[in-house]
Amino acid sequence: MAQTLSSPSPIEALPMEVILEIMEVMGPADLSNFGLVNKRFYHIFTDKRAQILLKILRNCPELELLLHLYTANQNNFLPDRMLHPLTVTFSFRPDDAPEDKVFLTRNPVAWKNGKIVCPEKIKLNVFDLMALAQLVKVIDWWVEIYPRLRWRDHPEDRRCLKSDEESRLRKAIARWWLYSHYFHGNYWRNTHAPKKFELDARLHHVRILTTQEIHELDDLLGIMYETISKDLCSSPGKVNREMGSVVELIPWGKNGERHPAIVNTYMKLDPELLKYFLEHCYRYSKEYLITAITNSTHDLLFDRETLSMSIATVLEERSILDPDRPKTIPPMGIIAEDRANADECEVWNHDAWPTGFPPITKEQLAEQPSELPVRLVITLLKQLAGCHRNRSKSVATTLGLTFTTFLFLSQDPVRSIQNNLSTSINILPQVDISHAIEVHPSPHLPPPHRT
Amino acid sequence: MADNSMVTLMAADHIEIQATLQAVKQCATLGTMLEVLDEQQTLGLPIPVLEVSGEALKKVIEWCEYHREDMVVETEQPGVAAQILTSLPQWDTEFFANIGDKDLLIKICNASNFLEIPLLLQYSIFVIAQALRGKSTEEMRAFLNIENDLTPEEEQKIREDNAWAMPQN
Repeated sequence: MAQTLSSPSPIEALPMEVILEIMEVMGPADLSNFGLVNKRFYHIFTDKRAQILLKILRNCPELELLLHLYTANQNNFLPDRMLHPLTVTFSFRPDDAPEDKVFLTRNPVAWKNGKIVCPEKIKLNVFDLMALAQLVKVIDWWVEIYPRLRWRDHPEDRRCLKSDEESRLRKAIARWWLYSHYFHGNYWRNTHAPKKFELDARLHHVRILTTQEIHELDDLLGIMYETISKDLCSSPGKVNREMGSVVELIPWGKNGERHPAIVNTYMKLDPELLKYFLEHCYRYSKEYLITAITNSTHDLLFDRETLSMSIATVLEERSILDPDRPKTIPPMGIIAEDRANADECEVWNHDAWPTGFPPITKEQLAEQPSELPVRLVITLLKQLAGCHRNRSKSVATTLGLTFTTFLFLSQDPVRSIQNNLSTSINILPQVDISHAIEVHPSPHLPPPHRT
Repeated sequence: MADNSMVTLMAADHIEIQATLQAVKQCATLGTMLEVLDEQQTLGLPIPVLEVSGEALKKVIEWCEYHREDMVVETEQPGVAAQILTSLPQWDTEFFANIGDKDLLIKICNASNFLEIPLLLQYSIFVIAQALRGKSTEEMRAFLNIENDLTPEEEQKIREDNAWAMPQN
């Protein structure tokens, strides 16, 4: 039933071009709602759909990453194809002159390893723009709930994100999504851990980032680990306390021992799938939820996430190739409180490897240090495991470990060693290992967990 | 006329507002009007701004007075429209926060469009979009005090036809 209001709204007096401009600065989700407010807005929305979507998409700092995600396909696993430069255009009509096309991203021709690299040219239509807007809506959702996740333990400190924080978050989410799509999804998955100085598409995704961007991504993964652990992989249950039994969230996995393995497996879910399960997990029983998650991705239980390993590997490559690099990296999280000042962070913003491979010579490769004795790592990490999260984070920072690597190593050191992860620790030069005894781990990996 | 001389503006509801000439020149519409009019014959007469209410005009002039030293942004200046706005400067944030009344905010937006003040228009559009952020269609209608002239059947059909864009709930 139509509402009757006493006086007309001043927005009725706004001319169409101003309404259009308001629509253009909205996110896709808000735009969808705004377009349904009344007939006038709906007609503006439908008549100018392509124009509005273009403006919205071009306002997104993560657009280029989303274009890579949207155009991702199996061929990108061929040599030199992963994250190949793109030039993406849009034309309002098929018969538009070339000069009338709109560039969504435009990469110049470049040289790569002595070969000329021409960007792949892709033309989008209005349906592609709609599909891209759907991806943006998913990122909008994560941006919306991020303060709840970041200030989970201190809701009194919760606040909206500032524009620079939101920009960092959006890009980090898009990078995580892109990595998940290629290496945690339905393409063939490499079950071996990434190794230093090898041609590996997984490392390519991280090597093209600056150290600052890698740390922002790592910060996001830390939050995601906690989110999956507490919001998805925990169920309410009775716990006996001194004052009697109380209901608490109990982590999945026998006595919590297998919990990290479960979380690391579910960390393969991409942002869209994870959003879906986080939204619906309270409606379903644990058994149903496990079945649904397991069936969401091909062979989900077969392996665990590798992004944290790729991050650790690339950071170690950088510390090896640049001996003058400071041993202590300042905090460079997404939120201002989790970052050093701009000058300190800026130092770490120019060390990306745009070719996706480290600038290493054969001589440098031959001079690589020997493997880290594993017993030392196991002892050290077992001692560190079980620390409070904040304490753990500071310990990880002090040791030069990224937070997710630390979590992964400290909670499951034996498997980490078996996955050759011990070599990805930056503490190697700082620890006296002369008396350590070499331990050879079993070559057989434990079977994937059954949730 | 010197830039610091005072000009009187008369709003739609006959409220008169004093402003410096420099501030008035932030409004392209009024700036052009002052250039065209014969200065000798119009000196001291109030300039009619009949499309804008006194309440909105007062706030617009307050903004213009603060920004009177700023370079006037040309509407057709290339790049202005394409500029991505992610946050407002501190003074402008406080200016819009102090407005409080959403109807007044929309009136300021309309006035800045009529008076051709590109920066104020861009800022007010941004603030309106931010105010609508995260709201459902019903909440937007309530916020904007706007009538729903779509029948439930029409609304349902639109949702079905545009499932790609519509919220799932």
